[in-house]
Amino acid sequence: MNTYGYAPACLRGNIGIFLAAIAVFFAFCPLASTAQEGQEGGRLSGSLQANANFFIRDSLIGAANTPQYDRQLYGAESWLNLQYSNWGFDFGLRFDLFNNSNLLNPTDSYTAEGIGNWFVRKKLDKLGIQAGYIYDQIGSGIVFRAYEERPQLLDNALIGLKLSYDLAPDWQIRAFTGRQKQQFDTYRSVIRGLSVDGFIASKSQEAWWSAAPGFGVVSRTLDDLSMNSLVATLNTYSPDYAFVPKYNAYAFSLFNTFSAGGLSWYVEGAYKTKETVNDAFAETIVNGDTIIGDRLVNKPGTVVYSTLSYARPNLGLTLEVKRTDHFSFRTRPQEQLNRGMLNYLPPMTRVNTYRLTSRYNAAIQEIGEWAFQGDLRFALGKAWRFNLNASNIVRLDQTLLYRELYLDMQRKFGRKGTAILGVQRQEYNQEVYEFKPGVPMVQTVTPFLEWQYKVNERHSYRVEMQYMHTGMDEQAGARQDYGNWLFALAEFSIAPKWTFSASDMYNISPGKNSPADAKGNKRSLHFPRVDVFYNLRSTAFSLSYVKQVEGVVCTGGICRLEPAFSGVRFSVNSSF
Amino acid sequence: MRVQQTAFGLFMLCFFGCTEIGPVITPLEPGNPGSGQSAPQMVWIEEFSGVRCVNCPAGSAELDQLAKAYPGRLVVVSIHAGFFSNPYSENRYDFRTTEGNNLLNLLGQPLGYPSAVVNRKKFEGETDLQLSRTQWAGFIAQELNKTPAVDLNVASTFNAGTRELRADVDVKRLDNLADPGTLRLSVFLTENDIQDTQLTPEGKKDDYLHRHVLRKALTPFDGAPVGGDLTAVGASVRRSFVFTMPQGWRPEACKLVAAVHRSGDSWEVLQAAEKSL
Repeated sequence: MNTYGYAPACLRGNIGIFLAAIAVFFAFCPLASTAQEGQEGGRLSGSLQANANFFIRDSLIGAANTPQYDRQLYGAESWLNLQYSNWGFDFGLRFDLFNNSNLLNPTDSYTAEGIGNWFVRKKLDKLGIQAGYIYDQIGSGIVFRAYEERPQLLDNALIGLKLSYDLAPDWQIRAFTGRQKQQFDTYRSVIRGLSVDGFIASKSQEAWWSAAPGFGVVSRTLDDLSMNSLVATLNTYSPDYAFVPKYNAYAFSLFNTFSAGGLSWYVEGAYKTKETVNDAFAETIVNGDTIIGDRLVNKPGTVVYSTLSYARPNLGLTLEVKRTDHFSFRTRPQEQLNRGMLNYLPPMTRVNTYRLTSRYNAAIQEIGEWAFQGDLRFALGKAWRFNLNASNIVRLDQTLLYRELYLDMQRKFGRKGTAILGVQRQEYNQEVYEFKPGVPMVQTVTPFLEWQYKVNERHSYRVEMQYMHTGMDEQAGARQDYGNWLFALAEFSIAPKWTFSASDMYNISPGKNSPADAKGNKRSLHFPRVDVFYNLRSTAFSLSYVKQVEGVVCTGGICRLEPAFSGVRFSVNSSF
Repeated sequence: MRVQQTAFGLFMLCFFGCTEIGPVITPLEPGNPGSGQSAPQMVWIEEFSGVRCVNCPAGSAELDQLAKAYPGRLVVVSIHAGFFSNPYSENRYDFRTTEGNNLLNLLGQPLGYPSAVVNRKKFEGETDLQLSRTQWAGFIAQELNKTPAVDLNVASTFNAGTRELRADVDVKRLDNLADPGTLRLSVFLTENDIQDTQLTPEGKKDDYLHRHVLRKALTPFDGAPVGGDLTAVGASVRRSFVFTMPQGWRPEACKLVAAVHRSGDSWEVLQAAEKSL
């Protein structure tokens, strides 16, 4: 819909500001021709990230019925970031461009361009000043994190003012106020926050320890428009569910990292005052019928998060635990999925990188979860390395949400060869994570093998083999979800410039949700991918032909289709 | 010590002003047209739905609640389109329509389902026209408080023998109407309480009653020009449409719904009306 040209005046304004800003930027930048080093010590640096997608419709795998596949055929995103430092100032400016992009909404098209980020920063003795777009966090981000995740077009920068002051050599206080970015606009709610971070260390060399305590508070004041909308919604609730919402919500966090020898212990406790939260799984009785779905509730929130790690040569152990209870903190309660988030709840599962081991992911449950993770890494001699990981996530009522056991072994063969062999076992509550009623817990076993071999100084190759075995859905008489998968990859590199890669993901035993032909027979589909990567100094190019399987991702009561992809991708990443 | 004192002082500062005067929850008087208005402002709601959308029954229930809160003021069209609307093999009907798919393209794909477009208006602070369930009530209340610029009346005649349906729609200009030349008229036929399979949180429900289902657009999906001359206040135009209803559609459960809306850069609905057959 955004292709119809929303807020053109705003965009025109942005482009005008951008051009003016560029003019000012270069008027003040005494640029040297090659080294970006000005005569007065100024320094200009920057980066470019650009993607172009050429969409090829393939209704068989579901790559269809979006504007890109049906009529636009092409989409692009680009971020050009510039930073200039001189006279004790730091200046930053970023130009963002989206043409027919499906990042904002995977099933829709978004076209806009303008300034995505600018800032001015100055340090005056102990006082630090920053105005413009601010990326920052308090503690681990549980009460506040302004950050950017480009693959999801998540950009939660705060537009406002940040001050910092060095209270002592190891103690700093920060305060900020502003509003959250909403693409090229801003949300209306006002965010303010304050944090104190410190560092204390023992003076004894023999029994050395350190602590990094901190405290933070963040407050959000709802704007009148959002509150009026909220009140109108609450006016439709029966007296059993209605409540008086709060304009102001406060979130407090107390955290500390204690380190001694190889031991490091981080602990954070956060509390959020009572405020309006959307409970996607609320049970509401209407005319005698129980309806499960979104309902606004008025509750306080808590999070307790701790991670304990121990490191020695050839040994690393990490234990993590987190308990979350109604800790959704957004710029306004009406926002959904990844929009308007003021904070970040750390995930408690392993970040898997293989194609099949990363197929099922445990989304954070803001309304409530108990999560535990343990990770052990150790080496035996120079040839063997092991990694063992276990995670377990349950609801506050102990319903299992996600469980993963992971083991890999790495064996080096001289200087040339490396083999990685491993297996992953998953239990994934698809009914909760994807809001699919009645489906069984998806159970998978995924063995994998990777072989890397360096033929000589310039040439190397890598192969991967993965197989995902999925449990049976007894009620459906078929394998769960999409069934069993086989994945193979071959990669050849010519250092330092070229890498060629080809892979295929094959639905070897189709499951309940695999596509069917006209007669209803499940089809075993291939999802091939071919990539060419080229590096030229600090610039990386890639050209890929991709067929990627679709999936439905639901967070709480809102389902979002992550469509299949079929087409060609070209990307450029450069820094200068 | 100075550090701790400063930190403590700032901590205490955070608590100042924590007492606020909250909003007054005053239930809106349902069903009252604004005083002195010749016709009440109606609100046109296009709900996007699908038989595979597990959260959509909750959305439909929400719209029923809102319709009870504002009796006779909401005109709801449930459009089955998009990924979740592919019928199951158990479905007796395929609720998808060409017009529905075109409307989804016109109004934009929602970020998640259930989703609805209220008066085809992009509200202040919103990214697009599609609104999530918790936003509907607020924007509906806001739209109900508008002063109408157009009066709209729908009359219908149905011949049970030939199943021919005739819709006569009168558009009358009131005060407060800028640029009447861009106005279009959309007239749709909806059917209520169709029993068919729907995914619900308890599983597939075969006897689910689908509400306000879009069956047919009697005008082009993006509306027909209102035509006539509406330059003078009080001027009116009548448009008529004839359609032969297929067998199986129950006339007693059908409604003619109509909206007068802008076209081009904005598709905002100015007035809506409905009439049971």
